[in-house]
Amino acid sequence: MERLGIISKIIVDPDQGFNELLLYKKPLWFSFLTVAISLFCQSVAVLLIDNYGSVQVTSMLTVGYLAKIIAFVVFWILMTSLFHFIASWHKTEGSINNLFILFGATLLPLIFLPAVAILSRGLGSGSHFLYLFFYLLIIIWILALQVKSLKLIYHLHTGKAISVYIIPFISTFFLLAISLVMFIILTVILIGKSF
Amino acid sequence: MDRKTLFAYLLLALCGLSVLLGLVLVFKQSPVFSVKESGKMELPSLGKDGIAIVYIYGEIFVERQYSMFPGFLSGSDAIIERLRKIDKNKNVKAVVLRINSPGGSTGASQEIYEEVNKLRQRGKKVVVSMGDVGASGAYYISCAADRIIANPSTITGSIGVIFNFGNMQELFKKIGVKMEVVKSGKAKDIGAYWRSPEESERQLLQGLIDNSYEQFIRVIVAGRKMTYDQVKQLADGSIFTGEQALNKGLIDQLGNLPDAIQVAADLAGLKGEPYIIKEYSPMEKVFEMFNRKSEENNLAQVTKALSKSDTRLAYLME
Repeated sequence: MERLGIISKIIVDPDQGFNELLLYKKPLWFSFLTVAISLFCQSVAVLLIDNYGSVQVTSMLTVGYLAKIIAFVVFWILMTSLFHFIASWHKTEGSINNLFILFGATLLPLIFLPAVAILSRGLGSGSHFLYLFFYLLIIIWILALQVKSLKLIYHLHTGKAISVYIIPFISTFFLLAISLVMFIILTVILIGKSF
Repeated sequence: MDRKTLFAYLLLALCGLSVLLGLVLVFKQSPVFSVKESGKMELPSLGKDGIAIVYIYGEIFVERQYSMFPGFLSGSDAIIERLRKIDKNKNVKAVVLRINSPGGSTGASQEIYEEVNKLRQRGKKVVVSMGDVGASGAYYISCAADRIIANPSTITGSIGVIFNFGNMQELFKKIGVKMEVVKSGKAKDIGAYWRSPEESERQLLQGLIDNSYEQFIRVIVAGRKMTYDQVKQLADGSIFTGEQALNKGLIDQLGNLPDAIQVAADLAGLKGEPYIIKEYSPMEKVFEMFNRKSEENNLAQVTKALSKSDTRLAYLME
């Protein structure tokens, strides 16, 4: 019941929910359980909304699901480390362990996907559009929860928390853009030399 | 318990129910296990029943060749692998072989033909849809299908066998090149490019051709339900348009790929809009792009064509 209470608080009052989670006796275990359940719900939703052959259905619920969890854990560790590193530039202190725990719990909104998928499937034509729309809303919800967790752990105000969150994405975008421009320039130079 | 918490609990209950309902819906197709004749239990069929399309493009040989486009693997090894995967998929009720090929080696054509036959014996319907060309070895493969559909001006037929090899004897004489051969038997270097074949060798090769040719005719007799004489009359290597082939009984109807898909759906008893099942994995698209056959320059191609005694019999339209 205590776990259900924490989950319900994260949904309706994230600040209180996150605080209760950090005070829970096994918060890391709870976080992993949340990730496992959320990703399972997402797999079920994908199977509901798309038609797959029998081979794909079986593999998505077994091997595919395990692969998803492993991939997410790797991504989870990398992102937590990166955000902790960027947050430390603002001369604030915060626990990377707590950030790791809260980031896992932020996937909780994915548990609504099967219900959305069933609703969309029931509507027939146009179902994909409705599903994608709600999926987008859930993604935004998850992003908001992640920004909130940064605020809570590093005691940042909203603007700074958002900047900490988006810096890695903007940097990646600029790195890719610069690489592309350099590639084009080098190609043009090489073509020019060959004539 | 405050209202917010109660609302949250209700939401969670709704999510739990939706997951259970979702799993039931996903497994809805076959709610009971089926028992095979051997007594072994079979997993229920999940997902939606539909049709798989296998593309047979270009010359047909045994070697696997990749193209830019997913699902367009060529080579009998790759095509047979795909057919076997389709055979295991209980949701695939019919297969459309989309053929656009002038034929290929006899071995590769026969391997694919056998695999298509096995597919039919296990209950799947097979329909061939010919594009621009469905001749020789491609027609051989088509004879295993339940129906053959072609466009009115598709080129088909070319029933026969060919074995060709380069003869550079005169060229070598001119440039003063002589090949020295040490062999265990007189027919060991049959088809060699550095000399003309002897009469006995020609007869031996003709025997091979005749044997393969008879195999081709038997396949058409069995597949098209025609008599030996009827097939023999058409099997002089002549090519036909789709319309001509229909009049001669070599194909079943005129139509395009969507028509073939509909025919396959009707044969399999599938109702409504035919559902196409994609059987290749997304990673195949990535790997295929990096495995394209490299292009050779013109001289290398000429040398290769003349020097390589392609010791393969071919059901191939030249």
